Amino acid sequence: MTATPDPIQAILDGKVLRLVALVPLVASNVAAQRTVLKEHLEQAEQAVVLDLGQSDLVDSLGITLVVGLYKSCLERKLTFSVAGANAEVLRLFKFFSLDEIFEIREK
Amino acid sequence: MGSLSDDNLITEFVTESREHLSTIEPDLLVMEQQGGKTSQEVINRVFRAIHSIKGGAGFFAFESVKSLSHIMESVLMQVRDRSMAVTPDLMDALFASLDRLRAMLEDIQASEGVPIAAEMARLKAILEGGGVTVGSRVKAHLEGEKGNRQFDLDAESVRSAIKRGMTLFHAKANLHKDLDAHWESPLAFIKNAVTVGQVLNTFLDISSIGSLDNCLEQDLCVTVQFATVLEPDLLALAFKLPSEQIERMDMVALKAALPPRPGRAPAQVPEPEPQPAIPEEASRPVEERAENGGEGTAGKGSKDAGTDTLRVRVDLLTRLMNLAGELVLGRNQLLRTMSPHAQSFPGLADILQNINQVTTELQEAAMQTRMQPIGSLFNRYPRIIRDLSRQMGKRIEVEIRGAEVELDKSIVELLADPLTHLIRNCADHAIEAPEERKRVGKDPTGRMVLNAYHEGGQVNIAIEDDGRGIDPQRMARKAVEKGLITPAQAEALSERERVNLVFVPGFSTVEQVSQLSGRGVGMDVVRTNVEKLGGTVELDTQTGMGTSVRLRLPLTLAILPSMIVGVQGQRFAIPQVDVVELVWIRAAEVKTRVERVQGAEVLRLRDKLLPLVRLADVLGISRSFQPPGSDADLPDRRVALADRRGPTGETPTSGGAGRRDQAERRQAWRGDYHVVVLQIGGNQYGIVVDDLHDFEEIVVKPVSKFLEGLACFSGTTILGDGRVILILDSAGLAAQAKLHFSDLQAEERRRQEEQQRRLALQTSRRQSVILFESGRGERFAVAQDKVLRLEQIRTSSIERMGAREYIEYRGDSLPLIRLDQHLAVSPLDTDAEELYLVIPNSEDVSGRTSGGILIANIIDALDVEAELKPVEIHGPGLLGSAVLQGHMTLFLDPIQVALAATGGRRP
Repeated sequence: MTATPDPIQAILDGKVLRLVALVPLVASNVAAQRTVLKEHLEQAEQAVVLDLGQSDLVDSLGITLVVGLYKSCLERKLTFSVAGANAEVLRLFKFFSLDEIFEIREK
Repeated sequence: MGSLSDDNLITEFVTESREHLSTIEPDLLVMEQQGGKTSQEVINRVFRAIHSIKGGAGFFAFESVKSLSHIMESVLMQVRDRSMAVTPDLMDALFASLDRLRAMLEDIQASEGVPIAAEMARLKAILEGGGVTVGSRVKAHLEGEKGNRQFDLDAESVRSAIKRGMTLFHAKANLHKDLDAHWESPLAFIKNAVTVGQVLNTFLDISSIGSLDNCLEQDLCVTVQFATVLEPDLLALAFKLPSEQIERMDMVALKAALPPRPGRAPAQVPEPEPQPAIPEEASRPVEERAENGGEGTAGKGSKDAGTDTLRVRVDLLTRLMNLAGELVLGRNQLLRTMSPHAQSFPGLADILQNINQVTTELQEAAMQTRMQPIGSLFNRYPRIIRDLSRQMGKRIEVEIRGAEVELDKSIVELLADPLTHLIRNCADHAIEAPEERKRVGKDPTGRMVLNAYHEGGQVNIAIEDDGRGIDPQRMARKAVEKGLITPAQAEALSERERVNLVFVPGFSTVEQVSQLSGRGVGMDVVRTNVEKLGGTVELDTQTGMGTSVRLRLPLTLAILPSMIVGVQGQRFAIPQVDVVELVWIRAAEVKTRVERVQGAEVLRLRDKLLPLVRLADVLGISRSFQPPGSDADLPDRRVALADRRGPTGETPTSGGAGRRDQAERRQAWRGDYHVVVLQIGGNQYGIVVDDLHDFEEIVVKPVSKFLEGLACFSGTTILGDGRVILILDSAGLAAQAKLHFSDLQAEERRRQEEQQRRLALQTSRRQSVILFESGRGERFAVAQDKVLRLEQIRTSSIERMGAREYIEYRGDSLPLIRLDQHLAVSPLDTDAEELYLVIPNSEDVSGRTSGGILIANIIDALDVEAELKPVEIHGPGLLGSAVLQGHMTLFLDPIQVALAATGGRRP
């Protein structure tokens, strides 16, 4: 039996915590991703970057997860941004005007 | 009321101005593409055309046309002098103004009623260097809710939406409850939204989410302020939202709240110049100016000052054409009457020949006068595509070929709607969004080619694109879902037939109704309209690679070379373009060559089954026959037409043998079959007639209004002997006879497969086979002599292009074939890192193999003696099954599999 791969990889780069989504942010993954995000968030000191470079899909629950992460960062007074968004994800975030709430960088 | 001469001059002005507009539009598109690099020649051409319109409008005192064209001219003058840059705003303003000019010229006497204030203001603002105000906002609120909730919208977007006749709405949707329930993804919702209108603003209310802890349990509400031409109920349908979640904005208040354009008060537009006395002379000073400014040449749309062309009214040309047609009929009658006497009167033969020749030439020349280059129609589309691609966020490049190909004016006019539909379909559905194109390795800019060319005495018009193509499987699935066909019928359809389901009335694969298309009333209407013109529509598509729709059209509708046929003494004309060949079956051969499939007669013609219909039966004409040795006509009551006896003449033992002692009538020449093989689109069928007469050039007259509802007839004509006959419509006859080509092709395939299996059973004996495994351990065997090579490959080396897979093989790309895509067998394990290739022992003309079959594992190579048994599943190359090494094993012909999968083609 093989272990399920970690849905989020955390890389601490100085005071910046980079959270790399390794699987799409979709209904079937978000619960596991939330658990891992909550664990890793404790390490962050100044800024959190959600890296979607390896995750090309975001669905409705994925959006709520990103918003939840943003709100948790806000609670902890951490800067939050999204990096590595592909064109479609970027279009999705822009449609919902999320780019006006936090910074989103394209892949 | 103006005098007759004034009216004529105004009509001439409108005609000329419309011609100018048709030349301006493509030039504006060039300006938009080339920006500051646009040549002076193009700018001058637009400038001159606008100036000519202004001159004429001034002369006839059409103030609105004059004012708008004047300000356009002022802007263009600055562009020409390079004192104004070609910006998107400028181009939008010019295009919008052009549309207004066109609207005014539609009904010139009512031109003052066309609102032009917005276009004038926009151009004035540009002239003054102010441009449009970027970032100015306007407050909007819902209808009946004044002052309650307000929405801050971009003023320019609102202005633009209102100008395009859109209404603004406020829509609310919950991410999970509404979007997840009805849409594949939020992105699908967005993509649909931008096809039905313009998104002005969106807001995602995230206040309900506190942190990661509760986020997944909350449903977020998104509000969208949206502009569309759709009515609220249609918008609710398009968004798949309850209608109470869509509210209309207060449009009256919104229009009033729009801020004025900047620089409106001190308009710096030069005063209109004094107008010249007559419109033709208006262009002279401008052309001089244009030439001074650069490389001006004689305007494309300028009035011809020379004597080589002359403007003639269309109705006069139509009359000329009709008279030439009557002359052709008179000539035919004259020749028929006088030819028998040609030898009796010296010189008569020469006179007849001369009249014959001159009449033909006159008729051809008259026809030429009505011919119009297809470019006059093609040139409309770049603008339409520009607007569509902007609206949908796509990038589409258009290429026009063969614009000089000519067709009868009436055909060009009637083609406008079908072509517009095809082009909209192409932009809307076929060509993918830039991101999607990038993802599949295509250029983000889609390509559309409009091509016209002559072939076989007809004109072909092809609309080709490099979009996503049509997926036959998806078409079949949708047709079943919509109840248009049964699952069994879908299973029996070939790929081509599945694709052609797009022509079935009510068919649409689009998940959402968009503003452009997707209501399932398109392609069948296109085909009906083209068939009304005596043409056909063919569709060729490759999934992931693109689609080509080809319309084949006659050059003219007026004169038609036709085959004259006879049934029960009545004559009918069949257009020659529909006739593929004539087949004569002697009565003695009828039994062997005519068979019955599902109760209908078919002719076995060169190993193909051709459906047959009796023209008399379709048209409801009573059939009769003459018994041998008698001239009496007796009713022919046979239902089954094929002779029940063999060529030797033996008669059945039961019933009526006594009456058939004499020479058998169905063995006599009157029992012969005269079959006219007709082509409609990709299908053929045969009609059985009593007599075949000459090919004759007939003059098409419209069918009487009493017969208009009959699909079997497309017109009437008068023959050389003076009798009036009906012209048959091949597609209408097939429809009337309820021909089902798919049933027949399924039968043909069934017979071929049956034959293959029989052959396999006959030849199943000891043979050397390679035993292999495909998905889920399913076993297959192929004869060793049909295999060229077995190769091991790594799945990482497989390359994809659209839906197809390739691998580099000996310096070339080899198409890969997955058995589960062609046979009802299990797919290969997707996680496999290594697979094997069975390369069939077949090469095409260039010596290349047609494809490699992907398999999971090679089990063994052995000599077996197996008797193959038929299997339940059908498919190309499936020979049968046998039990080998204790396992059920399917025997395949790898060459047939590869040919069927690749269509015998290589990239």
